[in-house]
Amino acid sequence: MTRTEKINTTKGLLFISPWILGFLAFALYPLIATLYFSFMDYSVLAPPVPIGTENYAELATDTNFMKAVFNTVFFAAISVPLNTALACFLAILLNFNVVGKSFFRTAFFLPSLVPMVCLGVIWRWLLNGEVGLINQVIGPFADFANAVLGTSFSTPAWLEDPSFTKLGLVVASVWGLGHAMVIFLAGLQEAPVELYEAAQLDGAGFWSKLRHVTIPMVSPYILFNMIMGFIAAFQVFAVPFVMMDGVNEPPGGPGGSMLFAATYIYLKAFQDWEMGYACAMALIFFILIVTLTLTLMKISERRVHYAGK
Amino acid sequence: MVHKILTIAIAATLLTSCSRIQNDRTEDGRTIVTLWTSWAGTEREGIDSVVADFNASQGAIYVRSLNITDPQTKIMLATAGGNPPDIAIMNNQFIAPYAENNALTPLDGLCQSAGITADQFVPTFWETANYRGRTWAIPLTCSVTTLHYNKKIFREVGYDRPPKTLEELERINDLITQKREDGSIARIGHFPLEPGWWRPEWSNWFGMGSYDGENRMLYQEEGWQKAAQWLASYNQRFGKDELIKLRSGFGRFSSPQNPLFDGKVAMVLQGIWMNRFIETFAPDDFEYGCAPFPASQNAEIPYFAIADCDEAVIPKGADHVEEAFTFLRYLLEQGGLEKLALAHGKLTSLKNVSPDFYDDHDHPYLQVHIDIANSGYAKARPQIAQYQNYFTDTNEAANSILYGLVTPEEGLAQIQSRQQKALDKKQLRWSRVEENYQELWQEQIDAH
Repeated sequence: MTRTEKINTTKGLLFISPWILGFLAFALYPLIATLYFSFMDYSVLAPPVPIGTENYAELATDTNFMKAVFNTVFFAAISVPLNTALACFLAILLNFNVVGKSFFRTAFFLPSLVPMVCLGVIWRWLLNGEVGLINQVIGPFADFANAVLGTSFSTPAWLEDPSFTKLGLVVASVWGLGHAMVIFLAGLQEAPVELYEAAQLDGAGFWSKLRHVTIPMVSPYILFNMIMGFIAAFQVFAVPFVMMDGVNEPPGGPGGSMLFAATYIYLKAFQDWEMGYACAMALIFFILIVTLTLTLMKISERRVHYAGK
Repeated sequence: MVHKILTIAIAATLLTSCSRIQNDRTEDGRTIVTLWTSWAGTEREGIDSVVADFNASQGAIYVRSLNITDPQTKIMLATAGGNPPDIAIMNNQFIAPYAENNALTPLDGLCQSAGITADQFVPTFWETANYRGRTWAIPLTCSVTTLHYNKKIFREVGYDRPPKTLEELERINDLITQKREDGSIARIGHFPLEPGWWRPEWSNWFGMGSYDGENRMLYQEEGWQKAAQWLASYNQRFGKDELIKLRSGFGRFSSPQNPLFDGKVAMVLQGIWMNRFIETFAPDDFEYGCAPFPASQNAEIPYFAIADCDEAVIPKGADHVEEAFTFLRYLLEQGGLEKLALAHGKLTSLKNVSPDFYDDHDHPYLQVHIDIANSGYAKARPQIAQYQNYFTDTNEAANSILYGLVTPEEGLAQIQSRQQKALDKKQLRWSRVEENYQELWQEQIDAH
């Protein structure tokens, strides 16, 4: 290494040192500490007591943990593909040159700026079984169907009936698709116009262009949004916790139907003071998310088209 | 260059250590005692007034009170971080988890020196401050739960007195409950999930709690079996979907839409503080009565009540233990506690109160609450190291059984297994640390 290279390397390291320090203090250290405490009986208030793999053995038979895993995977499996598809669809619509384009883009993005806790409170009211706006809107349709078809549909108690709670959360999660939409929009604008022109010359219509040009061109963005979406879905916490009013009501919702991984980790760590057990759970979810991300990357290798490759 | 590095190093050291360099003296040299409470509104005004009285009464100590939310978590984190307040106010059910984790200062020695003894307190309330043979707290303002019922609705169905047994309460419940044409419930007499604060305790009204006080959870015993049948009878009588729908329309507790105030529910289990909320939020023509909440006729008790206390503790690692205790002694000896209880609209933990206390208290059914507190039928929630886990889990089980999401047998078997496991885990942990902790606590007690 020449002297100039050495100086440049030192300068470079110096410039990124805040990030390196942040990474070491707020990511690597907590990760190692999580691993360490997962083998301890640790209440935070008292010094940790080593207990070997007891926490992991207990997790294997913990029915609430299984419930939390199921609920989290169920929510992620429905909300992520739905939100990604909707975000992509909205981005395509907002990519058309129509009057008021900027207004619509802003309007569709704005809801994703609402803080999580506010979102939880808003949706608790929107999904209220008796006076909620959602049921006020779908109520007349149910009445109409009942009158015409003789059925007995009724509006659901979204937050009280365990069959509907997670669906209510999926509906609420749609509000947060603005970020994914903006990323898709950027991807769409990067797609070369020549490809569309060539497709048009070959007689391609809207759907053919969408299938053979647009989707392949935005495929890296689909992959990115899916991965980010899954990571976020696996960490879902604030909105369901607030929606369930996790103070006096069971934070896991009726029948434990809203007990998600992050909720359970929080309850174990900060309400039951079983930090060691919570660390073991957090680690398992970390491994689950990493595995899922790597699997998605592997599966998508052949399906994602990167420009220039 | 060396100077620059030194300056930066000193500045960094000062910055990182500033959390501990707190000025603990006032300008005139008085020791500052920090007090954390989660009391708000009129309750906050009450403690502020008592603190002001204390600060004016002497010149050596200055109490500074701070209002916090979510006290259980914040006190835990502050104590774990080695920087706790000198006094913290917490609910009685958290004494056991804190004490078991060696996060409180045992007060036995300080109480003995100050002449504070158990016989000065209402026994039910004093018990809440003791755990594993030590005294951890001074119970301050207290309450017992009673049946609050809507007198107008009672008159409507031909009743002019409260029920005497739980079975009679259910008969009145059926009379009061009204359904709309579409089958939905417009009004219900009683709904065990409203409010959600004591759902894990319903088995007590059938003669038995959830914990034997030693090493066994009692969900498979007669008390819970009968309580679960009673809870399940709700979905059988009124319908799961109808109950779910009814409950989803209940408004917030502290609002005019509280289901008791707007007539959706006619009977609720509530504490002495409810009077304040009724005065603030209920309609002007709202008429209510308070009576002991009756037990099942098969139980060996006429009624049951849950005793709750706000307690003052001195967290482990507090800087000014003696000064903090001086303030607590002032509360007990100088009428400060009565002033506080009047501001809170609650009872004091003390057996003897001044005649003025009864005259000044604005609760129309004060005597009912005092009688229940002294009856022997009022008990605190279980002193159990995994209290929050117990609360969350049993709360959820009671919900699921009431709505019929699980059968009573399934629900009880599941929760017995989970909670017994949680208790065993805590007992195992305790067995590992007991000797050390007992020795440490004895040293602390002897030091005072």
